[in-house]
Amino acid sequence: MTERSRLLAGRRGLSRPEKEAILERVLAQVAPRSRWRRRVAIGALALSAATAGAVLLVPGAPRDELTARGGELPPGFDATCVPAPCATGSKLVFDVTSTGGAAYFAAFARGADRMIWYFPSSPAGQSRSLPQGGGVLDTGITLGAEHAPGTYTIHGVFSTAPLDRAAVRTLVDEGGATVTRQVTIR
Amino acid sequence: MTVFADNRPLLDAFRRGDRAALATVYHHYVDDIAAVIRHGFSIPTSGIRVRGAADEQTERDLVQDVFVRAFGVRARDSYDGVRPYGPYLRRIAKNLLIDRARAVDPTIPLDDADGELVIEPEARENDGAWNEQRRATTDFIAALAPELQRLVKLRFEEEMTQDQTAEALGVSRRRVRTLEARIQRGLRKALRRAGLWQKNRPEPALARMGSR
Repeated sequence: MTERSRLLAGRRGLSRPEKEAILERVLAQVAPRSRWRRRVAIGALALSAATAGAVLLVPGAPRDELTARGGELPPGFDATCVPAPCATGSKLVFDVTSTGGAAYFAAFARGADRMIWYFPSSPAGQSRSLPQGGGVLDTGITLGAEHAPGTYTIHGVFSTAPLDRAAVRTLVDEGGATVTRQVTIR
Repeated sequence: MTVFADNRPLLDAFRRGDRAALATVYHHYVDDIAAVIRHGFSIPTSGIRVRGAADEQTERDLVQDVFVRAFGVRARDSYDGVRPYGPYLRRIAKNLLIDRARAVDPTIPLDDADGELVIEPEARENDGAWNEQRRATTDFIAALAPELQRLVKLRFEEEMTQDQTAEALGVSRRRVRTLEARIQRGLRKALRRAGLWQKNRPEPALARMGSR
């Protein structure tokens, strides 16, 4: 039986998905990526996207769990709608409950079929600065038609230096440092 | 021209085993190597024609073997960056095909892998099954929603990566992955309904050209 991706391509040679799958298997044999290397790669990516000294802040235990005395809370945020419940016309408000020492915050939502950026707010932009000690961000997101009804996962990435969208997205796709919250829009 | 020509940083990264460098080299040569594996080659001195891979799975396995051998640590270290890299990969591919052919006919010479590449339609290329399956696929694509048709064009016909496809469609990569899987499942159902979903029979790996 002919490989379906070849039928879809209309060519009898290797299809793009086949080539990618072969490459993955080759790399797994000749240049396996260890967990340690992956973490370094994630750190390097963040560093490259930022000015000197950028550090990603990995979320630790949820803030309602016991935290060592004197230790800093891990970064976290809540996302709520005003007025509730979340619906078209509501404003999505970000309450940073702990910065974990971070100075910058990036966020986007993933729904069933779409991805919506909040911070950076433009393709060329970078993550926004955080108020010292956290608190409610002064930039709320007015929910429009782009927020079709459904459940969204909001990913938040905390860092000590600004990151662009590509860096944030790669970090999240690699399973890197991210805090997530679920929001349902009616 | 070799991919390393005037690109010392790429050669250094390749030798270190940098994954991005390996991927660059792989994508530069994979179509050429796949063609050797697919079509086979002839050995003019002995009148033998070594056929390409008998089926698609074997084709994928052999292409993988070529690059695993070429990208191994010792092979990377011993490459000087000057010799043409394409012929080196081709030779590995031809030797792999010869090894397979010798399993069928041990009289095939071991050291004659410099045969000419034969690019000509084989029985596998001409069979009616492909045309039938392709017709059913074309009908299937025509019935897809416009977004899915565009994805087929970008991802499969134009060979874009999932990231590039996602950007062109204005959706997430996860969405592209989801739609891609949905399209492939839908095509399998369509082929099954048309009675076209069955396994191919493997073919022999060797054919002789004339007398020796």
